[in-house]
Amino acid sequence: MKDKILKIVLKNESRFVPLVFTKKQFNVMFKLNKGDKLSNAEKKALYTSINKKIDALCSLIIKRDNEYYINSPSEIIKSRIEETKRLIDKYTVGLNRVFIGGSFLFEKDYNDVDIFIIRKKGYKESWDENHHFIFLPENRLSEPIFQSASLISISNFLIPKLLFKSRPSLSGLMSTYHEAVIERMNKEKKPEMIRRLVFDYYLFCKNEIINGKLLKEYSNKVSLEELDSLIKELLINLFSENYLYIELHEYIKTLQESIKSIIPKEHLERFIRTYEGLIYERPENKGRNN
Amino acid sequence: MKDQKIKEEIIEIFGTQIRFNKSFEEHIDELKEGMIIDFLEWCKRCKENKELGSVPPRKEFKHLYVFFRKIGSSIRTILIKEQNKYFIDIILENHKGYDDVRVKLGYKQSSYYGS
Repeated sequence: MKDKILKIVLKNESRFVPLVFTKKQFNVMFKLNKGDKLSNAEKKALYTSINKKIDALCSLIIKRDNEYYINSPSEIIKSRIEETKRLIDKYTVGLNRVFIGGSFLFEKDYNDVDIFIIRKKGYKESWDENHHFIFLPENRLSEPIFQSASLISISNFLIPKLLFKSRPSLSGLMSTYHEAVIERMNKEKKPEMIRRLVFDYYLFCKNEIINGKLLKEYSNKVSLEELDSLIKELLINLFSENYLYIELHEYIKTLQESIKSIIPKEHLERFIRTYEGLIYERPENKGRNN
Repeated sequence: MKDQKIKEEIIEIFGTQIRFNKSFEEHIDELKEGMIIDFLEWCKRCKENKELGSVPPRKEFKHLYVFFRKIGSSIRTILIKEQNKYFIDIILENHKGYDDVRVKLGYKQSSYYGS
C-alpha cells in the first residue's frame, strides 16, 4: 500500500508539494522510488517525517474498488477470505472501520468470528449467534492484544502499527498463573489463562507480539513445568527482588495455611514450590533492581 | 419457575447459607437445559472437593477459596467458599459483572477480549 501511495504522490507533485510534502521531502521520495542510495540526512527525513505522512495518507483510504487489507495472507484459509470480505461489507456502516481477526481466519474449526469495529468512544463486546463484536475506540488499537489480533486479519483500513505496553500487577500475574495451572490440570479445551500467560511471557520477556495462531499452538503444548518457568521468568523480569520477596513470602504463608483444609491441594503445593524457588533460589544479578 | 427449582437444588447442595447474586435468575433463564445440567454437576463436584479453586491474591480475602467456570460464550460463574467452612456465594454473571467480581477479589480481568 505504501508503494502505491508513494507512486500516486510522485505522479501528482503539484497537488502535494508544498501543501503536504516539502520539495526536499519530495526529492527523497523520488530517489527512494528509483532505488537510489539515500544520504544520512535523507534517511532521517524519511523515518521522521515522510513515512508518517505516507502512513497518514494510507489511513485515509477506506475502501475503494473492492480494496481490502490482508495481513499475513499465507496464514489465512483461502476459502475464508471472500466470506470475511462479505462480513466486512455487511458491518461497514458509512465510514466505519472494521477488521476481522482470530481463529475464523486460520482454523478449520472455530468457535466464533471476531469482528472489530472502531468507534469514537467506549469499549463494548456483544454476541449475535457466533459473531463476536468488539467495539473499540481507535486509541485502544495500540494495546498488545489488538495488535496481536491484527497480525492475521482482513480489514477495510490500514491498521496502525502502534504499541502501548503497560506492566501488569503482581497479583494479576499470579492469578493468571494459578488459573493457567488449573486449566492445564483440568485439560481445559479453551485455556484462556494459559494463553494470557504465554502472551505476557512473549510480550514482556521476549519483547514480541505473537499472533493468534502461534499463541494457540504454544498454549496447547505448554506443560505444567513450563508454566512454572514462564511465571518465574516474567516475575523476575518485571519486579524487583525485594518486592517479590515481601509479597511472595506473605502469599506462601497464606497458601501454607490454606492447604491444611483444602482438598485437592496439589495445585496449591505447586504454587508454593514455584514461589519458594523464585525467592530462595533466584539466580544472582537477574531482573530489575528497583 | 425454572429458576426457583434450580435455586432449590443449589441450596440442597450447599445449604441454606448460600447467597445468590441479584441477576442470578435472569442468567439462569438464558441457559439451555444441557448447560444447566453441567452447571449443577459442577456445583456438586465443588462441594465434593473434586474441583480445583484458588486463594484470592488480595490479603483481605485470603480466608476464601474461589472457583470459576465458563458457561457458553456469554455467561460466567463464580463460586465462593470460606476455607474450612461453607460455600457462601454463587454468582452467575455476564462478562462485565464477572470481571467486576474478579477485580474486587484481586484477580486479573479475563473475560473480555482486551482485558
